[in-house]
Amino acid sequence: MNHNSEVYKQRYRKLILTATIPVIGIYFVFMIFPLLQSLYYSLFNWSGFSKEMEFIAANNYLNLAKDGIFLRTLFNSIKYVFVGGIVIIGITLLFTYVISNFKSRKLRDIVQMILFVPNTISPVALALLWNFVLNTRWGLLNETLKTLGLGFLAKGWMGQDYIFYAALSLLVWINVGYFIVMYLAAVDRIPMSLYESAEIDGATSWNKFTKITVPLIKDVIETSMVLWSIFSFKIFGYLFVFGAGGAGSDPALEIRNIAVQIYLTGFGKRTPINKLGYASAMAILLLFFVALLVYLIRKLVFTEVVEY
Amino acid sequence: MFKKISVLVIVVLVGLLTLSNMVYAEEGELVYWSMWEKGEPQQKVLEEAFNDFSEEFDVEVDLNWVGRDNLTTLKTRTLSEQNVDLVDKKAEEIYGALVANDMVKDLSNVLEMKVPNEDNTVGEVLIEESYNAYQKEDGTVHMLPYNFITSAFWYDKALFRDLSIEVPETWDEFLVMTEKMKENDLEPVAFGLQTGVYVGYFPYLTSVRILGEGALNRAAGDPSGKLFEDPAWERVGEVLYSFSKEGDNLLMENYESSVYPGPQMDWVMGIAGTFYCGSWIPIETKSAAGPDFEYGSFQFPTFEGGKGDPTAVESYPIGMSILKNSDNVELAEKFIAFFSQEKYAEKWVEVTKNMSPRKGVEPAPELQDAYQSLMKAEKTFRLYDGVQADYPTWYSNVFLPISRDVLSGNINGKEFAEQMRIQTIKHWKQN
Repeated sequence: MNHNSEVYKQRYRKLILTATIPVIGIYFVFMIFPLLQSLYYSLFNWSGFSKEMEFIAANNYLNLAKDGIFLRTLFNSIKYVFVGGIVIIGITLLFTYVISNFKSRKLRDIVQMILFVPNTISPVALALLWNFVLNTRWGLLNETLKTLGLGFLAKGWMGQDYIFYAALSLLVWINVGYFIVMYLAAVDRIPMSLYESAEIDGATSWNKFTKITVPLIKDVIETSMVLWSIFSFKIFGYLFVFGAGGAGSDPALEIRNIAVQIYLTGFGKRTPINKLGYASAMAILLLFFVALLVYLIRKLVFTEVVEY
Repeated sequence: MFKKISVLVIVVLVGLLTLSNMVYAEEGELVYWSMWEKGEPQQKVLEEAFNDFSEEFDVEVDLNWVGRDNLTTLKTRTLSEQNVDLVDKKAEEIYGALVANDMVKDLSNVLEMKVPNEDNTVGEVLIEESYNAYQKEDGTVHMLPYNFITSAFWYDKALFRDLSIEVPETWDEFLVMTEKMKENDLEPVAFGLQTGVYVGYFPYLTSVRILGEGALNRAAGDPSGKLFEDPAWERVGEVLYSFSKEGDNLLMENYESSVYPGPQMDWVMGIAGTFYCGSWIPIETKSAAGPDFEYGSFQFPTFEGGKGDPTAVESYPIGMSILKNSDNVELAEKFIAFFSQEKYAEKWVEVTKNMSPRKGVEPAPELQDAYQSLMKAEKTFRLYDGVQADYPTWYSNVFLPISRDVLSGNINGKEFAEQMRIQTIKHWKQN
């Protein structure tokens, strides 16, 4: 049928409208409207308890620029993106190399499933578990190191010097399992003939991985970079519980990202800060940073999809 | 098709609106927005009391067991103009969130109300020290307690007896106690530097003992920072520094990296001799403590020449408040008086193992020392001297980081006082 014909237009216009309007409506109600509302609230001094709001224009944004705690959480968020991103993607690639070389499909599925398990567990439970694993005196990690005669490597993992990396290790554990599923699915679509011809030419498994696998799953690696950038800015549950350990304290400043700081500022945990207008300004900036980062990654890293 | 889908969308929206109206409270129904969750011992006692109240006065009650985030969800509830009559929470959170935003009414009239089925008024049956730290000079009080919490150094009486350790009252006696513990391979004080609840205790308690109740609160709220120029703040800093590993090393090993529940477990397992915490700790640690473990507690030591009342104890009650725009103020007040009855106070102690603020209701043996301290107290002071509720951003951004620095030994007493002054000025310039 001619797509420009009147019959086509009449028949499908209504269908397109009926199919898209509810989706656009839902998107507007649950995404755009709250976003605009946050933008509006960010211009007020408001606790969120009553309807009384004091208009302060851009003062919340100006104060954020001078707020040492907010700047620290921004710095932490950026650290999660870059340090976390490099470690997670690096380890995921390494696992992809190892697992894709398994001859047994069953073994490959089992390892993949084991790596994915943390994604099926509640963030709160995982964060608490990690607190116990990293406990300085009787935690599993230090005890294991001592048993192996590596006691000199045992550290106070939850102290100011290491807690960021302790929290990051939890995020690495969870996210490697998530991305490995994507990477292995991408590896599966690579034609076997490419590997076979490389083998005939005498390529080692490492050569095949670096010269065939990585270039051909580059689009998925790039997507994972974008996803991680968005995830890392938004991580909440794990960091909210980690370190504070359920004692009702605010998470340590060393591990707080902007998402956690928004909650603490807007709603408080034990400390009743309740500055919802100020927290809204943080949320708007968070949106801006995520959008900027995704744009930069797409601009700098994204390449054309390879057809094969 | 477009018409069909439009009709469907309208039907769904109307359905949702009808449903949301159904969950609104009915008129004349007492709405309670609770910090407890279904199944908790506290919830069970409260539910029973509400049911009795409903029966006795022939009123409907709408009980919402929201949990610890009840003040967060209260925001959406009140903004959408749905009625809430009664809300409960720890005093500091009620004052920091609801009193600070003028959301709750004065309850001083409830103190004058007669307790149903008894001869006395609410004011007569409540221990005054359980709420007077929150009472303003004009007599107004915005929360009345049904659960009393205080904090103290907790210890195992059996262990102290075995090692012939005397319970200290003064700082010098406290240092003698810590020396004796070290001689017996005990780490003196279980502590975790990464847990804010623990970090704030010693700095505020030292200031209360040395400079008096309310001194920290006044200094925190002084934008000029001048109050921190008092040399006594340097003394506070020196005491805090002496706790650190760079000072007299009174805190447990690896305290810099210890988080909940590490410190309390180390204490209850006998690695550390004492643990400073709220009076909920016997309940939390009971299952891990050995059968011979005898809970005891003593108050934070006093200092020679200190301006604080030596008998003063921390008052950190949990209680009820009534929303200012409540539809059923009288009913809500009536319930507070109703729940002050002796039978509910006794049940509270029996079922929840907590302390009741009602006179003459003895707590469990584990809490006896803390209870006796309260009974002897001539003065009380608020948790963190009230700075967490009155100046929450100062508490979070100035007080805790500097306290952490001095307790980790990164700064000394003089630097502590100086940092408090400088950072307070900076804080108020920005806020």
